[in-house]
Amino acid sequence: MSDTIFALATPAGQSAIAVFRLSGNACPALATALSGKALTHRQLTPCVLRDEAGDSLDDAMMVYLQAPASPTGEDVLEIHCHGSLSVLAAISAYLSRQESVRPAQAGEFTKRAFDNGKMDLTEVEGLADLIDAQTDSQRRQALGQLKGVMRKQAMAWRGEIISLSGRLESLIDFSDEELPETVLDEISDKRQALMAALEQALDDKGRGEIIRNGLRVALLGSVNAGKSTALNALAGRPAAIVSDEAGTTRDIVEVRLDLDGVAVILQDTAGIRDEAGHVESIGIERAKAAAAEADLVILMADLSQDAGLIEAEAIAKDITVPLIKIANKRDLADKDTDFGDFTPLSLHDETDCDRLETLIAAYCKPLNHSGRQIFITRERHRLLVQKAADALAASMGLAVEDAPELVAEELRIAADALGQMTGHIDVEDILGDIFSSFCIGK
Amino acid sequence: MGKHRMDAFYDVIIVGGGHAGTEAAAAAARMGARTALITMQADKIGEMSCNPAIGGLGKGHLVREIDALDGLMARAIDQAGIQFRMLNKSRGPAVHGPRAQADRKLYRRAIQSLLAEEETLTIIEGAVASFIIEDGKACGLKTEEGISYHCGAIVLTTGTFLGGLIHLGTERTPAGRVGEAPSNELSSALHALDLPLGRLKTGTPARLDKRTIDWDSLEKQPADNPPIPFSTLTDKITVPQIECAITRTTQETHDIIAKSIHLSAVYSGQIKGQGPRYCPSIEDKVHRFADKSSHQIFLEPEGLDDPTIYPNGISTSLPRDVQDAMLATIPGLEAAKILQYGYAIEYDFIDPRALRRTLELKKLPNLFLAGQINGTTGYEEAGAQGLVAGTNAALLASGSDDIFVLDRADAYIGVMIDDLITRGAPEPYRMFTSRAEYRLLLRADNADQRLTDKGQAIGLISSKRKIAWEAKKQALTQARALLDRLVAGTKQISAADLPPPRDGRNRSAADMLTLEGITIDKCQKLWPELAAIDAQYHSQLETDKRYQGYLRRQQADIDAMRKDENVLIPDNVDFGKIGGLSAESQDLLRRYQPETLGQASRIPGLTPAALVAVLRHLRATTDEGAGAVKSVASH
Repeated sequence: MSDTIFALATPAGQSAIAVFRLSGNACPALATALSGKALTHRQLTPCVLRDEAGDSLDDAMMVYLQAPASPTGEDVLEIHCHGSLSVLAAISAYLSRQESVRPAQAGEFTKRAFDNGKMDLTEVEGLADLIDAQTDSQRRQALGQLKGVMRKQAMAWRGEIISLSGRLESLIDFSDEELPETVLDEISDKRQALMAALEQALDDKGRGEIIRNGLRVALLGSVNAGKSTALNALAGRPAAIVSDEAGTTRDIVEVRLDLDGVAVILQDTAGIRDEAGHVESIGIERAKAAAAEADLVILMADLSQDAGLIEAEAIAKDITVPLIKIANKRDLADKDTDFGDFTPLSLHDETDCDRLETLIAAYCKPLNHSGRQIFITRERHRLLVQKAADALAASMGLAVEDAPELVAEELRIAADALGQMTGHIDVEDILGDIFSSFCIGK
Repeated sequence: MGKHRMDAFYDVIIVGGGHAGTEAAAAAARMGARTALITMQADKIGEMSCNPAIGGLGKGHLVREIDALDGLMARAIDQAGIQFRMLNKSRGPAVHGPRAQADRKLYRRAIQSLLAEEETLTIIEGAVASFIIEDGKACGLKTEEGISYHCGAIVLTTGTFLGGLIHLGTERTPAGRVGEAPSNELSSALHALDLPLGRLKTGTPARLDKRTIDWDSLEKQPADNPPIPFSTLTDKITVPQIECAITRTTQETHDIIAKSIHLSAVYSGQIKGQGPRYCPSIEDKVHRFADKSSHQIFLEPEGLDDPTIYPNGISTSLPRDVQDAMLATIPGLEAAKILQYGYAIEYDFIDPRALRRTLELKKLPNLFLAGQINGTTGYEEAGAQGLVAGTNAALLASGSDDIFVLDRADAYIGVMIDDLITRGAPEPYRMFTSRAEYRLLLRADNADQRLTDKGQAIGLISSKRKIAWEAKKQALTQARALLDRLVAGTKQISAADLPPPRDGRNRSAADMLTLEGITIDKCQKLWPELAAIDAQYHSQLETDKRYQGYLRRQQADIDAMRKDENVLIPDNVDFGKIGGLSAESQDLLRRYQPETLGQASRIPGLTPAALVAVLRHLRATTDEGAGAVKSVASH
């Protein structure tokens, strides 16, 4: 029997209401233990939550969804409690103490939903592979569902390739038929145009994914530099609207903001915070790891320390993503300090917090206000479009007349790649194109 | 060939002496089964009823595969081919299509004499009337003469006899082929089995008298010189090679057709069956592609001493007088005399989705179907199915748990059977190279390397071929080792007038062959040791290297396909009990009864979610259910 898992389904940080979601067999028993009541399927029930000792945790509401009619296909319990940090901590601690109950790993609710047939797949090929996918990134890549612009675009490209393949296959399978002399030219014109279209779509600097997944901003710096202050200041501001998507990563404190229409995930690594006073080697490693996955890093130097700027510069050397350098606690700095390219701020000052927000927003703005249409919003799609473009590029180096079978193979790869976004390409589609375009058959 | 004993029990009985029947009979006999072939006229065994040609694009691949599994067709056409041509010769080896025009009489004779070599095969003349069914299994046949035969397995290869209806203008004649009586008793016996039927149509052109054609005025198409045999057991083609001629329809021809099109059985609405898109009648061509002012016609002799000409390209079901008028407008055919008028034929076929991968009927164990009865067209498609059905019938009759299955990455045969059993035949099914997703791997030149060992593993290969194949295999292995062993540096390579590697690293002879235009001959200046490789293996080795990079890439796809293909769905799975399956998916799965997850994934309309549900169910029940599943002999 698998563990019952739980996670905060609302964003971390203080809020009016927060929701815990639990999935697994222990849910009904937990509900009774917490509330003293037996809950009815799908019925939101007010109750006082009490711990093992009978002490009150919170005045809350719970809803129980009985398997299989639940989002994961297992028994599910949702606890709608007050969003104060102390309540959240107490409920978390209570749940963690219960036998075979544990915090969910990243993607684990999704995996259970998938395992129980609650989710659809857009993939058919290598199905067994897909189900056996071990890592969350593999699974997430496989789970992409298509909507809107990208799907339409991919279907249009796929249509172009089918028509191109149809012409090419007619040259191969009906070589002794009378085909129009223009077929060769049509093939080379079409593949040229198609490759150009794919390359243009790819040349978007990843904006699609950032908009979809949110801009990941990592706060780096030594423990006293004021990262938490920055995090709380930004999270608590009326301008920063907290989004409704759940955080998934346990060991990183993160806050979701909406800055100028762009979802921003502001992160602080727990690891650095644990280091006492100095940015030591382990801390730097962790910081680097977090920074490597971020789209933007806010590096904070601690001006209250003599070596604050130097330490921060040392970290900056290893950062390869865009960087905003902040020198915090400017009120404590020597008067003649050279801040270099650091922006001096004091985050206890309301106006300086505005400036920090403006700096981040300035980075977000071009992401959301570009005139060009963005098609690619997921890494999986980018990989597939890239694969298709690469295959078309490879086909350009081959002569259609001499090696049509190799050109066809590249087109097949391109079509399969696009087909994986929209469903399968089918040889019957290609044959259909041939027979509707040409008079074939003796 | 043994003597006909009326009281005998046979391991396998084949019904029908066409291309599916003869391959099935020979395969079962090679497997060591006591085999009987029942046909209405023994002297018609191996008859080419339509266009007398074997091979072509995709089809030529099938013939080479039949040969690799020691079948008859390749050897027979090598003894009967009067015009060998390699189609797509200027293109890559993966799409070369061996084709040969046949002398019908020589072909029949070759097939009959090859069958005569099979010691465990008996040929019986008779008309099968009904099946003997016991315990829900087919275990024998009764003829119209009232004789009963019992057997372990039956292969039914009766072509287009089911509900056959010939259309010529407005005339309608129930028939098998022209001049042959349809078999009505067997037809009702099959109908009684309540199998899913479909209706197809096909057509044939008028046959012309060679002596009335103005041959000299026409463009000629010569045979290849030297002709390349189909079979690896044939050293050389000794049949004299002839020329075909090419002519074209004219605007006048099209005018006549357009004026009379309402008289064509197809356009008058008499024909209900679906015809093939790749083989339209001339009235279809004129109607659908009205902007084309002319269509080419190949004039193909049906034999060396046969005056019959097959005008390939003008199949028709227009009335006789229109056919006459049409011909008069075609250059070279102005005075041509028709020996037999063109016609269209409609027939019922059994929806091949009713079959297992072995071509055994899901509904009636021990009864296998092969050939046109499954909705295919063409001798090659029929022969290939016959071979698979005959082999599996012999395995079944021997009590073995093995089955002989080729998958989509093994052979065109595998592609065809998988297409048939997962998609059915919405039009007469013909092989094309574009149907094979692993086309660069499934080449006509490497059929023996792909298949002969698999055939040998289940006992399908005779000792003669076995010896030849082992020798070839050894020669290829040694040659490959040599190509890998010989290595040279940049300087030596340039000195031998070969393109030097740009990265400055050493290259093996095998590496050099991956480059465009580099052959073993060209490498001999650098590595004289290469002279040890027999010239007959050069193109094989060069082709393998030419496609090497592509084949490596395809391997991942093939592995993924096989992974799903190896997830077997037992017969006793109750799809209604699988959680998360929609009613529609359950219905599809019940209808198709897929044998593997791979097959299920190719069922049109079945959703990915349904596949996941099936896989999950199989995983959950595998522990108890394992072992109930038959092993696949070829793996």
